[in-house]
Amino acid sequence: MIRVAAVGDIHLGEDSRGVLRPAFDTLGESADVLLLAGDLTRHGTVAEARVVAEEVEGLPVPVVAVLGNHDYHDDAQHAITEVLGDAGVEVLEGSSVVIPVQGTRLGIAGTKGFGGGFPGRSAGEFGEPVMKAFVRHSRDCAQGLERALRELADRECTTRIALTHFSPVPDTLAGEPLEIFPFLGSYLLAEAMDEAGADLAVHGHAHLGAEHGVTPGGVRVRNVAQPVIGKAFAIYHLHPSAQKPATATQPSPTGSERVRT
Amino acid sequence: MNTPEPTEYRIEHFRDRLAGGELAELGLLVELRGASVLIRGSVPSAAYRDRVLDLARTELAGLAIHADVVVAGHAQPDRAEDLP
Ligand SMILES: [Fe+2]
Ligand SMILES: [Fe+2]
Repeated sequence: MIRVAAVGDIHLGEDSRGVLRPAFDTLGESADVLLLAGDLTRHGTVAEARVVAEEVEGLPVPVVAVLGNHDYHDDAQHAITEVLGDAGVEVLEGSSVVIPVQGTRLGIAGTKGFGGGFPGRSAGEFGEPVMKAFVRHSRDCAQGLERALRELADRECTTRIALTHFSPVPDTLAGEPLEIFPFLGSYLLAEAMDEAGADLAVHGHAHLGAEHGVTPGGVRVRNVAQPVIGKAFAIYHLHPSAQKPATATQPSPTGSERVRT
Repeated sequence: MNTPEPTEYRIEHFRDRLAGGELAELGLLVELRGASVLIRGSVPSAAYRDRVLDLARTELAGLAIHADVVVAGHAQPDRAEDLP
């Protein structure tokens, strides 16, 4: 069994020092890895990133993160990535990491992701440069995620998790005003997961949303935004050997690679 | 000149202040419900909630405000979800 702890949208400010640390210190007993689903800071400053780093530095479990839109607000995303990296956090963007857990290989692929909306109501790459750039950014993030998930299949991970900030599905946005769904996520992320295969998708960003969802291809989705879960983190138990292939509806070469180990 | 600013615009200006200022708050629902303004959502601390509501009373002075803003818990979960 793989025990995954996850939380997003902790939005730590410079006055938030120590708020989550007591709960995080218990992770050694309850989890094998901690995932941070973006919006780790309030304004995206390096000073706030240092607060985040202090909250997670030296924890008894590996920490894997993606950044969120708030972490980009001060144009310091690279510096934030570095500060978190120095504290031992693996920050993913179109990349992946493999973590050995009790004799199996857990793979995590991550991207911030972006908006654009969901099938039948999504934005297209058309018109003004800024509109095309908007959709292209979302597409780039999704393509990075798909590449990273395939990488994990090649590296023989028995379990793969897709970690994003923006949502891949509308299910986990239930509770948010319908009109802002296009700013909360993109179906391109779900399509990437369904194409490359994943066992679980974890995201944040939708503070008023719901915890549970599923992609059209059957990948389970969890919104772990802290306002949604109402705890320091949520814990999910995955079972590498008993899992049904995530790509059952559309078998792909990478999907079958998953079960080779 | 002396017509009062429509409440809809005042709500948007309040939302701009919430997002643009020290709070950087984009996650709260703020909307007109009848003659009053509803503010709903979850924030990190009681002090933060006070600052949100102080700003609301300033920006939306004269309007009735219904606040349903909860403080998110920071405790570790007492159970896990099993994903078979
Ligand atoms: Fe957030
Ligand atoms: Fe966000």
